[in-house]
Formats: sequence, C-alpha cells, structure tokens
Amino acid sequence: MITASDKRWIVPAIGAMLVWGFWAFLPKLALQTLQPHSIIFYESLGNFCVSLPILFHLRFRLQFQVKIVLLVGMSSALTALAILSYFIALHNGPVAVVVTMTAMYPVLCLVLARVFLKEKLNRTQFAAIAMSVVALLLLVWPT
Amino acid sequence: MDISALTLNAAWFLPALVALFVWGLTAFLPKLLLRSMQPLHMIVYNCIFFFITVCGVQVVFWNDFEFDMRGVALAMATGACGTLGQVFYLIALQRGPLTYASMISSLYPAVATLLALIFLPDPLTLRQGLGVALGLASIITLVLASDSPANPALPKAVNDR
Repeated sequence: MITASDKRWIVPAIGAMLVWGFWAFLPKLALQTLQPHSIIFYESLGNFCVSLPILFHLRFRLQFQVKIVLLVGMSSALTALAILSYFIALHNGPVAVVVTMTAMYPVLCLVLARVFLKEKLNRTQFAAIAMSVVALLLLVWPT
Repeated sequence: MDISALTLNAAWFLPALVALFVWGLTAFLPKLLLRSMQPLHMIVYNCIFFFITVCGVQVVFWNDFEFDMRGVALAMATGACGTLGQVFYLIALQRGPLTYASMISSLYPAVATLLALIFLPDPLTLRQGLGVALGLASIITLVLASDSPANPALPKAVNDR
C-alpha cells in the first residue's frame, strides 16, 4: 500500500516540478529569436528526445486500439492548440502571470463539472475557486 | 481606466484564456484514456500526434519557416522538459500518494516565476505578485480538497505539463 511516509515519491515529484518549471520558462527565452509557431514545432522534436528512449524501453510495441488511439490523437491536437496559445500569451506577457493563470485550469474543470454534470463541491473546493477568481482579477486587471 | 493598458493586456490575456479553457476542457480526457492505455504508451502516442499536429501548423506558416540555433535548442529543451516532467510525475504517482505528488508538481509556476525573476527583466507589479501567490495557493487548496472521498482527486493530465 502506498503511504505518505514512504518518501521515495518525493524526488520524482520535485523533479516534475522543476522540469515543468523550465518547460514554462524556457519558451520565453526562445521567443527572443523565434515565433510561437516555430517554437512549438521544435518543441515537438524535443519531445521525441525523451519519448524515443521510452519507445526503445517498450521494444517498439505500442498498445493499439483504434478508438483509444484516435481519442489520444484528439487530446494531443487540443493540447497543441493550448500550448500554441500559451506561447503566444508568453510572447506578449510576463512569465509569472501567464504561467500562473494557465496553471489554474483544474479550477475550470471543477466549475464545468458543477455546471454541466451537477457534481457536488465541498467547501474547500469552493474556497479554491473563489481564490482563483480573485487571483485572476489581480493578474489581469490593468494597472 | 487606461484603455491602452487594456489593449496590452488583451495581447496576452486572450491567448492565455484560450490555453486555460482548452486545458480545462480536455483535462478529463487523459483520465478516461488511462483506463484503457498504459501511461508510457500514452506518452509516446502523445508525442507522435503532437508532432503531426504541429506539422499542420508549420504548413499554415509555410512561408515563415525559421531557424535560429539558440532558439531551436531552447525550444527542443522545452519539449524534452515537458515530456520528462510527465515521466517524473508518473514515477511519483507509482511510488506515492496522488495528493502530495500532485501538490508538489503543480507548484511549477513558482519555479518558472523564480527563473523569470532571476534571468529576465520581467516586470511584476505588487498586485500581479499577489495574484501569483494567491493563484498558487488556490492550486494547492484544490489538490488538498481532492482528499475528500466524495470528490475524487482531480488528476493532472498526463499529456500536460
């Protein structure tokens, strides 16, 4: 059974936080010489630097179910749209503001689940939504 | 209210809003798909389909192909970091509780903010600084709120940062 006292998860979790931090920051530097549409293209090549070793690890045998693979494809295409939008935002705005604003997407999930799926939210989740709305206003309100 | 400031905001606010909405709308997809596909297989498929999609974007910008060694290296490092982050996150999930692993990894905006403050002359007003702090607090609160059995944990999308 997995428990919080088993600390082996800390290093990879911090590793994810650090490399995702770089993921969010590095495009700002790349944007000094390239446009967003070029960065996303070269980024996709960078993805392969990690996924190719994974493919070797899997001995080039990928699971294949047409319906699932098509859904993964749709999800990836939408992710590409989101990332392209993120790069465009980063091109014109400060890193801290853009990355924080876009990282609050799970709150949107909660709101959508409440509105369309009529899911119940607890008080803490309502508090998180309220905090993120205030945070958004603080971030985007013109000075 | 200063109209020019509003225009300046729109230049980053609107695309950031699109990113927020698309990520928000599609966050549930990987959760569903992971019921039928192993995470590592999904990472590989994501890379393949992501590449196909951005090739389509390149076709649209056919006459605007760019190459700059520094920019390309940084962009490729960005991609490698994104995928490596997914691998680290999956390992953390395998070894530890979802709540804590999600909480730590979702603090990546703090790392990006710190890097921007160190390496970029990125101006941040006091109000925006408060917004960043409150935004991070809301993310942590959300992750902690998922501890309730009535509200199962909101997963971090695997094809996401």
